[in-house]
Amino acid sequence: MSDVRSPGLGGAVCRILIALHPRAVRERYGHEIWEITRARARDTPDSRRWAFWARESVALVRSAFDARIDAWLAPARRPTPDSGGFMELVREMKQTIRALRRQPGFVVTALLTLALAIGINTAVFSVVQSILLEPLPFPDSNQIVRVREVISGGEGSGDAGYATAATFHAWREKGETIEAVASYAPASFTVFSPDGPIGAGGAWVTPSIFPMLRAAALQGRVFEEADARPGGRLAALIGEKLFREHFGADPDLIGRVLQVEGMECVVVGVMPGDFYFPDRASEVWIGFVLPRPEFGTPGGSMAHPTLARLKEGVTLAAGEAEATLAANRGHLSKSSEGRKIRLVRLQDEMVGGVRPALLVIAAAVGLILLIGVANLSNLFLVRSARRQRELSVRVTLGASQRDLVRGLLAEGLLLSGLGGLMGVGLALATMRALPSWLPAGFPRVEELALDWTSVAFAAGLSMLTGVVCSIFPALRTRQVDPIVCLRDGVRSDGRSPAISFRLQQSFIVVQVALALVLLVGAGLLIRSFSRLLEVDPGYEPANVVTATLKLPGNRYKDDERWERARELAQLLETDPRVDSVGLGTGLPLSPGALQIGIAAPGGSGRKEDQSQASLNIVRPAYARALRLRLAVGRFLEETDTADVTPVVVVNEAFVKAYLGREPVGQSWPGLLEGKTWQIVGVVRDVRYASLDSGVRPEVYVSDRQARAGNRAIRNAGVRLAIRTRGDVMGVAAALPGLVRRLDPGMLLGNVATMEHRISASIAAPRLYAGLLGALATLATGLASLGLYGVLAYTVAQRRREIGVRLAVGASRIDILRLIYRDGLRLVLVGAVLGTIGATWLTQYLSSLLYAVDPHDLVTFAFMPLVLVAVASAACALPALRAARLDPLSSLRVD
Amino acid sequence: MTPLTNLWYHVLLVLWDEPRHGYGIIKEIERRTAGDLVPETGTLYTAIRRLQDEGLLEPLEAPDSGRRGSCYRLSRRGRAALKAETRRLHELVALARELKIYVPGPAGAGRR
Repeated sequence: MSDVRSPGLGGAVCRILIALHPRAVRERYGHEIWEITRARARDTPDSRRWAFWARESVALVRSAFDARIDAWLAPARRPTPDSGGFMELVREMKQTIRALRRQPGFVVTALLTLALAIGINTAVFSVVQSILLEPLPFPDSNQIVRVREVISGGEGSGDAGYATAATFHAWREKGETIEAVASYAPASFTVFSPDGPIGAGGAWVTPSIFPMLRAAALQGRVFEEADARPGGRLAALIGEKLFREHFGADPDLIGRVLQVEGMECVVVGVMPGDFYFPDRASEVWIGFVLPRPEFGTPGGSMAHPTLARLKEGVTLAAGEAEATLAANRGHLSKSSEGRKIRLVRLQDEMVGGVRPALLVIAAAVGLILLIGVANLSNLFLVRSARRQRELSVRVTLGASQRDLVRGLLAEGLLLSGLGGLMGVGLALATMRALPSWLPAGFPRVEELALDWTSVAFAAGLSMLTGVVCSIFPALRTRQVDPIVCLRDGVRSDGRSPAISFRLQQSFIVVQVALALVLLVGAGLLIRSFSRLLEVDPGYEPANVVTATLKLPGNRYKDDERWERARELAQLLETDPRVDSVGLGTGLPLSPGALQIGIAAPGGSGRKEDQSQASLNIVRPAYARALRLRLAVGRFLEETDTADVTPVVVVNEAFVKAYLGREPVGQSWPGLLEGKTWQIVGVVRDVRYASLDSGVRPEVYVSDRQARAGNRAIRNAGVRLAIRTRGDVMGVAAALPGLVRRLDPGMLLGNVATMEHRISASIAAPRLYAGLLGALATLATGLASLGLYGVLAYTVAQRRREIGVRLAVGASRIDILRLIYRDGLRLVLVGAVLGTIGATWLTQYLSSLLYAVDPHDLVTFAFMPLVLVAVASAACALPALRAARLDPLSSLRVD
Repeated sequence: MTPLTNLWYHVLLVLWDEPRHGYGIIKEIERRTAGDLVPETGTLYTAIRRLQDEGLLEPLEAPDSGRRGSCYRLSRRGRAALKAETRRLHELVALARELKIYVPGPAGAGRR
C-alpha cells in the first residue's frame, strides 16, 4: 500500500518532466500541473496508480516537447520589430519548417537527392583535390622534376624515362638552373634483423636525393656525399616502421653495421614513417655512387631513374635546354647522337596515369548533380504551383514579391543545407572506405582525406543548389495575380491550371539527355572491360600458383642459386597435388623482366645495330606449367645442358620483328656469353606486362645453358609458376612451409594465384567500368523519377479534360496512349540530344578504352533502347492511373 | 478555419456555462463522456496553453491563486469559435443524416 499523501516514484518522475518544460511555461503552469496531477493521483485507486503515473509521464514528455516546439516557432507568428536581414530569414526558415513538416514525402525525396548528389560530388572533388591538385608531400614539390633522357638514333633509342650517369654528372657540375639532381634505383632488400631475414622495399640512392626532396631524418642524419665514395663503406637509412617493428626502436642501432643483402652497411639514421620514396613500401635506402664515366666508355650509358629540383622561378623549358646541353657534353664521344632531356613535373608523372579516369568520373558525378538539380527544380515548381493560392493570399495580405521570393529561397536553402550536411557525411564515409576500393598501385592513396576545402566545396555546392532550385518558382511569383487566382483560377485543391509545362518538360529532356550520355559512357567502358577479359594472355592462368623466390647474395654463390631453386622445384613436384613447376626470371604480370640488347641473327653484330628484347631464363618445365603454346619446333628441354649446342626459343613477335620466315634452325652468334645459339622453336606470344599492352620480342633460354651469364642475370630473382591439379589454394598455403623446411635462408614473396594476378592487373578498368555503370544507373533512375513526377502532375492537372474525353466516348486505351505519347515525346527528344552529346563527349573516354571505338555502334544503338525502355516504365504508372479515372468523379472536381 | 481538435472542443464546451480550473475541466469532461475521454494533465495544459495563445481562453483571475491553480473562462473569440465549430459539425451531421449514414433511434441509441 503506498501512502496516498506521498506521491512516490511516479510523482518524482512527473516533477522532473515538468521541469523539462520551457521556463515560461513552467513558471506559469508548472505548479498547477503538479497540483492537479497529485490530486488526481489521490482519486485513483491503488491498483491503477502505476498505470496512471505512466500515462501522465508520457503525456508530460509530449507536452514538454510540444511546448518547446511552440516556443521555438512562436516568434514566427508575430512580426518582429527588427524585420529584414538575418532575423527575417530565420523567421522565414521557421515558417518553412512548419510548412515542410506537412509534406514528408517531398522533404524525403528532396533530401535524398541532395545528399546523394552533393555527397558523391564532394567525395570526388576531395579525391581530385588530394591526388591531382594537392602538391606532393615534399616541400616546394612543384620544383621537383623527372629527368628523362630521349635518345634518337643509335643504341637504346627511345625514352625509357631514365637519365644516364654521364648526364647526371655533367648537369650536376655545371647546372645553373637546378638546386640538386639525384638518381636512384628501386630495389627490394633482404635485411638481417634480430628476428631473422626480412624482405623490405627500398632504393639505392645518390646522397643528393635527401636535399633534393628536402627530407630530414627522424633520428641520426641523412646521407652526406662522403657516405657514397667509390670503395668506401656503404651507408644505410632505414624507415621508422622497420626500425620500430624489427629493431625495437633501439637508438644504438645508429652507427652500427647492418647486414643488408649480404652487404655490410652502417646505419646513419632513421627516416620518418611518412617519408614515402620511391613508394609507400620503401623502408631501406642505401647510398650509392654513380660511376663517373670516362669519355667514350659504355659506362656513361648506364641509366637510372633521376630527379632534379629546379631553382625557384626556373621554367621547365630553361631546365630542359641546360640539361640537354649538359647531356650532349657528357656524351662528347658520341656527338652524332641526338640527346634531348625532357623534364616532367614529378607530380604530373605520378598522377598522369589516373588523371583521365579521375576527370571522367568527376564529369560523370557533375552530370549526376545536374540531373538531381533538374529533378529538384521540377519538384519545387510543382510545389509552388500547388501553393499558388497560398501565395495569392499572402500577396492580398500585403506581402511584396520580395517577401514571396525570400520565402521560396528560405525553403530551398533550408533543404539544400540539410542535404549538404548529409552529403558531407556520405562523402566522409566514402573517403573512409575508398582506399580499400582502389586498385593496388593507385598513386597517393595514403594522402586521401576529406579536408576543409572539400567541406567548403560541399557548402558552396549546397548553397548554389538551393538557390538554383528555388529560382524557377521564384521567377514564377511574378505571375501571381491575386485577383485571378482567388476568384476563379484555382480549384478547391489549390492547383492552378494556368501553369505552362514548358519549363518542366525542358528539365525532363535535359535529364534524359544527360542520363543517356552517362549510359553510353558506361556502356563503352563495360564493353572495353569485357574485351579485356576476352584477351588471350598466351597461357592458361587457371590452377597456377606463382611466387617470387629470393636467394640472398651472401648465402648463395652465383651457381648455387639456380641449383637451390631447382631443388625446391623437384621437391614440389613430388607433391601429388602439383603437376609441374616452372622457374623463370620473368613471369606474366610480375614486373622486373630482364631486358637485353641483342644483335639479331644475321645482323652485323655491332653495338649500334642492337635492339631490345626481353630475356627469360627458364627451367624447361616453365612451358608445361604455364601451358605455353608452341607455334613451331620444340621448347627447351632438360637435355639441353651446358655440354650440347646452346639453343633458344623465341616468340612470334620476335620472329615478326627480327627474323624472316623459317626461324627454326637459324643460328645466332653472340646472343649471350659469346656463344653461337640455335633457334629450335617459336612459342605463341605471351602478354607479360599486362593484358592490354602490346607484346614484346621475347627470348627463352634454359637455365642450364645460361646461368653463368652476366651479373644482371645472376641477380634477378627466380620466379615460380606451379601448375596444380586443382587444389590451388592448398598448394599456395603449403608453399611457405615447404620453402622454410628446405632452406630457411630462402625468402618467398608475392605468393598469389595467376588468376588473382590477372584480376588485380585489370582492377582499375573494372573499377572505372563499375563506377560509371553505377553512376549511369543512378542517373537513369533519377531521370525516370523526374519523368514520373511530371507525368503524374500532368495527369492530375488534366483530370477534367480526361474525364470529358472519357465521357464523350474515348476508350481507356486512347487515354493511355495520350499520356504515354506525352512522356515518350520528351524521352525521344532527350534521347536524340543525348546521342548527339555522347558522340561529342565520348572522345574524352578514348584513353580509357581498350579495343573499343569511342563511337562504338553497338553501344550507341543499345543504350538509347535501354533508356527508352526504362523511361517507358516510368510513364506507365501515371498513364495507367489516367486510364483508370472515373469520368464522373473527375468531372466533379470543381 | 481548421476544425478544432476533439480535446479543444471538449474544453470549450465544458467552459461554456461556467469558468473552471484545470482539475474541474478534467473531471467534467470525464463525467460528460462517461469516462471515454480522460485527458492527462500534461495534455490538458498543452491545450489550455495553445487555446490561450489563440485567444480563445483567458484566466479568470491572476494566476497562482488557489491550490488547484487559476480558473479559465471562454473569451469572446472562444465563444464565437465554439458556435462556429458547432454549426460546422451540425451541418456535417445533417449531411450524414441526409445520406442515412446514421439515424438516431427513439432512445438516442444509434443504429450503427
